[in-house]
Amino acid sequence: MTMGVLLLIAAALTLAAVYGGRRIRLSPRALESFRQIPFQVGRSLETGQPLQFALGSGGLLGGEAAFTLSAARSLERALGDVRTGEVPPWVAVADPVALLYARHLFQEAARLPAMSSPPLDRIEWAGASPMAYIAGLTLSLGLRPVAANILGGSFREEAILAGEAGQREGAVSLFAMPDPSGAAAMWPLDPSLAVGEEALTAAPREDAPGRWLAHDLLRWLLIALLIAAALGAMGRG
Amino acid sequence: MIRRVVFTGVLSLAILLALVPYLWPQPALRQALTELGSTLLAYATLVAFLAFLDAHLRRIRLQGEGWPYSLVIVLSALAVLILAAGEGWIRGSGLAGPWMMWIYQYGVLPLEASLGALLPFFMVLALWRRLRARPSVEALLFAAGVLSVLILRSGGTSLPLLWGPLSHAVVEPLITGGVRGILLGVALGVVVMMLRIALGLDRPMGR
Repeated sequence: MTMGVLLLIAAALTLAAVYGGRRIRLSPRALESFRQIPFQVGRSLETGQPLQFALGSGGLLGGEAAFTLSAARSLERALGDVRTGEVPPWVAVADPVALLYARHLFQEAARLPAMSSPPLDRIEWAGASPMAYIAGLTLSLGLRPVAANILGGSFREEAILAGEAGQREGAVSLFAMPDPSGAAAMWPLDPSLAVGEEALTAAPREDAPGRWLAHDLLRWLLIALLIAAALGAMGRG
Repeated sequence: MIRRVVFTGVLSLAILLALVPYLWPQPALRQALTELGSTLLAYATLVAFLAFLDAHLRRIRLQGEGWPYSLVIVLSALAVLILAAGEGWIRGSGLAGPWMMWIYQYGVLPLEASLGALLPFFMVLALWRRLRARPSVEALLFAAGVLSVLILRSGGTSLPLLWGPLSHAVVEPLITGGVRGILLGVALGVVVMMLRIALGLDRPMGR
């Protein structure tokens, strides 16, 4: 019952924020991990080296669906650039459903003039378990040069192996880690990485400000609820 | 326009259906959703496995860089597949049978554990590089955190006894508070993302 009421409040706030946000001039949060993607697409074209995307060890059916979907948003953003067709990115997935989704994104991108046919062989199933996935990704990074190593989605401490392999090969590191342990491991490699909720704000294209306003409104709502709950507990105790 | 409305409607309906068991417990609906998910996963696994074999066989055929790794991977994958199918055929136990458990216990898990044992070294190396390249207050705090964990986990010395009380009193509350804050933010982000999709404001299925 409580969850239902909270969901209704959240839905109403999101709608209010999104529709109200269209009239508010507000710059979206400029997170380095996402802001850099168009620049890295250009750099990839200049160097002739593809981008390497990793969508994390989660899939689209379990509790990590939002993480994987958010990581796929960065891929979608890169594929939306018409120049990407000339040097298609590599994508490493750990979950079969995420592989199907990545294929779908490539097929969508193939509608652009620059990409004649979707290069589906660029999507790799690197490994099924988190550690096997990182091992496969690290091996791939060592075998072929890439312009940027873009890691998003569900990663834990083991991500440092892939992050370090990318840096050793001279690739630019862009990380978005919702999981605190993954973020802690990757921080020394890229202190400007997107952490926690930030990692879920990836947008497939230049976005309307209302979406970030919705995030912020909900965040304030939760803070207010937490303070109210704490005060209530103090009053009772 | 009609296509977009239909896709968004189906997606919103799926999200709402998935939420129903949490709001109003319905074992039959939960079971049906689980079976649907399992069917999709089985199909996706087949596609992924074929794509995986195709990619590695192409690398072997073209003798691309690292092709011996691909050869080992393909042979291992096929051996495990044949073993699992054989076990399922002979013993009727499939992936949960003793042969497959043996492979997991004495093959996969030790390999993963040995890779995991490398993680502290890579973390310390990355931190050392960060401190050398651009020393900052954050980097020093991070180094203190890593040092604290290493000291607490070190065996055979009295260091954990000396360091433990300070860590419990000062470092752990800070870390726990920070992690809880991040996790609350993640929960918010997930809720907002799913709401955006359910309301049709985001279209992960494309335009």
